[in-house]
Amino acid sequence: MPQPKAVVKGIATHLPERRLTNEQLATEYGDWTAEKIEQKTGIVVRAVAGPEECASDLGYAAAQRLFESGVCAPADVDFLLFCTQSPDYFLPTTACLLQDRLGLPRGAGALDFNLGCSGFVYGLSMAKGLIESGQAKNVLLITSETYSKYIHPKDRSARTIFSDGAAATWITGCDSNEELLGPFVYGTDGRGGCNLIVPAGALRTPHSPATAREETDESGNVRAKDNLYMNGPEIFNFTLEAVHLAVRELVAKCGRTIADVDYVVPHQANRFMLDHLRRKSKIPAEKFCVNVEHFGNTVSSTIPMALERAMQDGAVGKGANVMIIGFGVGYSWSAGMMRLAF
Amino acid sequence: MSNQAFLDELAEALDYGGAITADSPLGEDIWNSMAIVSVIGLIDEHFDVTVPGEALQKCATVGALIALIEQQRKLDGEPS
Repeated sequence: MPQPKAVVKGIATHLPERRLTNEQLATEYGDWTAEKIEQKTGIVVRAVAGPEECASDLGYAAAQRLFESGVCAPADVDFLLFCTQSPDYFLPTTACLLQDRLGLPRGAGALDFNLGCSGFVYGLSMAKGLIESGQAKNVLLITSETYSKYIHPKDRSARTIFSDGAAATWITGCDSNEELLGPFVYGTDGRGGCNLIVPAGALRTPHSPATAREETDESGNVRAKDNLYMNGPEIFNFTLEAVHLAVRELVAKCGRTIADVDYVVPHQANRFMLDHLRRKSKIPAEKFCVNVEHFGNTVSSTIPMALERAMQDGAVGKGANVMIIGFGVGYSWSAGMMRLAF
Repeated sequence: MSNQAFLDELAEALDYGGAITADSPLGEDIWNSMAIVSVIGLIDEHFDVTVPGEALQKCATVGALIALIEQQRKLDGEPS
């Protein structure tokens, strides 16, 4: 029997019920109007997890939606990959809890991996490895974040951008002469770790009265060491330098040019950054997915959410040769190709 | 490098009331995080260099900003 080729066969997404609109942000912060927030970020609405709602809950809901679509059943799962940076517990592994809750076979492998905005692309590449090396037939990849729990209510810069949500993606093996998932390129630069970080709360710097002390930065944002900190300008500089090179490296690895790519789905960071990256990478606007307005920056789930939306809108369809690009916290980045087969 | 298109776009990115010249002051209240990010993007687009946000924040006039860009271009141009 020939070696199977990994292929993505389905995506389902889930947003928690609570919404955070530009009008609410404008009322709270006063200095920017709702129109201005939309103009600058491209985001109209964000989703926010409830106090009792964790990454596993959002991931569970996304996976249930995938099963309800009929593309796969819990009994088919050989391996669960769960990507989060906001796990329910330090331990046990969230994927193990989800194996039980989703009713996945006891013979299934399950693991968590800690990546942010590059997580979806990394997850697909690991699924490919598991399937094409014959270790698994079917992989369920769940990406899920509740960054809102890390963000200080008075940190305008982070609250305006980030959103909570999850996506469940089904990767299976099939007979094909063509590569249907991949190739991938990767990049890492840990020097940027300090620019997007929750400094306290884990074991390096446990929670304490000192880490809970609030400070106000020069832009008027309030946060403590217990909260998420983002150095927006430095993150932007990193993406300007890394992303267009990753795109170039990937098309070279494929032996193609960007003209051969049907559609590009980048991590939906915010519209401003994406417009800039698109021009820098010389990708035509009609080929470049920007629909961050509907869900905000859901970290590792923006690519499946944006792709699902683009397919619903008819911007891209079955058979298309799609480039996906994830980049952010770490710094970590990855880009890859996928053939749309659903 | 008195690129008028750049200066016009700079005025827009900073919500500057009126036209910008090399002598225009850039007070501390202008450099909020969105303004910094907007100007980093603008400089990258026009001059193909990235400038650190912290250095940008220290620019008190448009002239200082232009000097920073030229300095960065020189650094980038040096063979490594």
